Amino acid sequence: MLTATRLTYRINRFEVHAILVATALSVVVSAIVLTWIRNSGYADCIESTEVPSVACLELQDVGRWATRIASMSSQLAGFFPFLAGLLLGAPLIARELDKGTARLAWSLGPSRRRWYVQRVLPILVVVTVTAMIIGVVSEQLIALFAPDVDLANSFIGFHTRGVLLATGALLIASIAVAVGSVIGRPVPTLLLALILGGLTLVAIAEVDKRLLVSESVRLTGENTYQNDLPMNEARFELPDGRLVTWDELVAEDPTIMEREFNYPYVEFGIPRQRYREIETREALAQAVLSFAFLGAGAVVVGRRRPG
Amino acid sequence: MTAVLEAHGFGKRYRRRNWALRGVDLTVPEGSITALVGPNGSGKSTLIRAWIGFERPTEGRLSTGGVDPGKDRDAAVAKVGYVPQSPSLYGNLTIAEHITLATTLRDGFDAALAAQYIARLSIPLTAVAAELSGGEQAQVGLALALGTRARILLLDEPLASLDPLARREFLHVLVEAVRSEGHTALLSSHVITDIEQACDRLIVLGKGHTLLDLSISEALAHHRVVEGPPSFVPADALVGSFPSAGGDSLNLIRVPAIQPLTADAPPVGRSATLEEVVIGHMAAGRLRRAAVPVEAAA
Repeated sequence: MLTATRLTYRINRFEVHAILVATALSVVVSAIVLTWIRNSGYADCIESTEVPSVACLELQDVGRWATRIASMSSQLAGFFPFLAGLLLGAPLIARELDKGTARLAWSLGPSRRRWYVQRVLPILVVVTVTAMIIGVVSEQLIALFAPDVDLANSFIGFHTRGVLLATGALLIASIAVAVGSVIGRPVPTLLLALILGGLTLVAIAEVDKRLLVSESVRLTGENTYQNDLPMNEARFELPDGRLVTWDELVAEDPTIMEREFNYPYVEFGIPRQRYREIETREALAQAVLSFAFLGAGAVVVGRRRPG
Repeated sequence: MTAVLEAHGFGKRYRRRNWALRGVDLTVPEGSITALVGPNGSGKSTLIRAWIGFERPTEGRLSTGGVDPGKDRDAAVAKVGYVPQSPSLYGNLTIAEHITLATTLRDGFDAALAAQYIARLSIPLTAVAAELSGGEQAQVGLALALGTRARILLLDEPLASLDPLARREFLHVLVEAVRSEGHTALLSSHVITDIEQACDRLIVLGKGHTLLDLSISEALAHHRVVEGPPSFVPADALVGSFPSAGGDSLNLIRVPAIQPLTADAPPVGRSATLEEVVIGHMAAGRLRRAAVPVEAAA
């Protein structure tokens, strides 16, 4: 398997190198920025809400650039699953069918499944590992701007950090592989996988949203008034115990805006302590979908003409 | 003699209407080098691809070394070494890496044998495939097919884009390998002179069906050429009429139909070349197709 893996990397070396270089560049730049901000003392300047000190003013020119780079890197992390998944996944099978190398391989090897595994597995490892690295880097960058927040128990940067970047990239790559197996042309595969991948992630987010709405609970204590919480919704508790939104309240009593009222304000949402659980659930859903797409790709490869 | 490749009532239809092949019955005997000849679109590639399991029969059945490729493609591929018209090597891999790749795909692939064939042709194993000429790439494709040590070799017009020297070298390696190892080869080609040198059997396909299936010596012995208009020869002896390179009208006739080989009378016409035998049957195939009503053809 090691020899086959090495050859798969050789066959797809341009794409593999591009993603490895992009990842390494991101890690190095982020590390430099993070180290400078932390060691120079500029981190305190970012947090401070008071008039900047002389030391902060001296660091400001470089500091602005550093924070700008850190902020941009953190935002770009959300696009990495698409970049890695499409660049590595789209040409993987499609190009072999297009160039006819699949025909050579399928005539040499009786088992197409073996060929499929030899091609797909090493590339998915690269996609997942690089996206995971970007996820960790992104987490460090987010921590820089929210130093007092425990990211393990916070929804800050949900979907743009940690394991979800890795499973998102795996999903996009799997979709690209499956589409490529059907179409057998790299460029149309790239475009269709981009559309299908985007739609799939939107669909997952929509399902997740509905699930989270149904799981919303009344928030108390430290969980209230936090803008990082998903599905955060405010309601008023009426004397009869009913919980209504502002619109419902106005509809029920149109004079409410003309007088004072003191209905208790109640917040609903997902407690931040559930972050890891919800992150894991969504990652599992993405992983399961990835395997489904990879399975579909394997079935197509097993049945189709070599091009 | 045992048949290693068989087609029984084989038919392949693309997109509901167009039959690439229909009602093909033929066998390729073990140990032979059989030429598969026919005009473009006659279904040569379809037949070869079906024997390796790359195409599914629409009707009829096939056998590749005793295995039905439609039912057990993996087993059929395991019995075959396949060389397509374009070898489609991995452009950025070296030849040595292609051999290594083959070992990862096929258990028992003989890397030493493949490397030996390549070395004999002075192709460096360190050369990158994209830098090789078309002839060298075809040779690498053949070496990889031979490295499988498969008993059956299917060669789908591998000579089409090669220059005469490359063609000759390719056929030399093929014939030597087949004769020394006792393999069976089916070679699809348009180049009749090469076929005559390398093959011992001839199958002519014409627009979807078999026109001729004989050994090359039989094909030459049982056909003659008569110059003049088709009316010069009895209709039951005429195979097909075609123009010579100089524009004269030539007629290919079946010898046993007009006079026994043992007859004392001087034979009619002159000996046919293999190219004339092939062209005469192709011309007949074209006429037969033209005579088929449109409804029946559809």
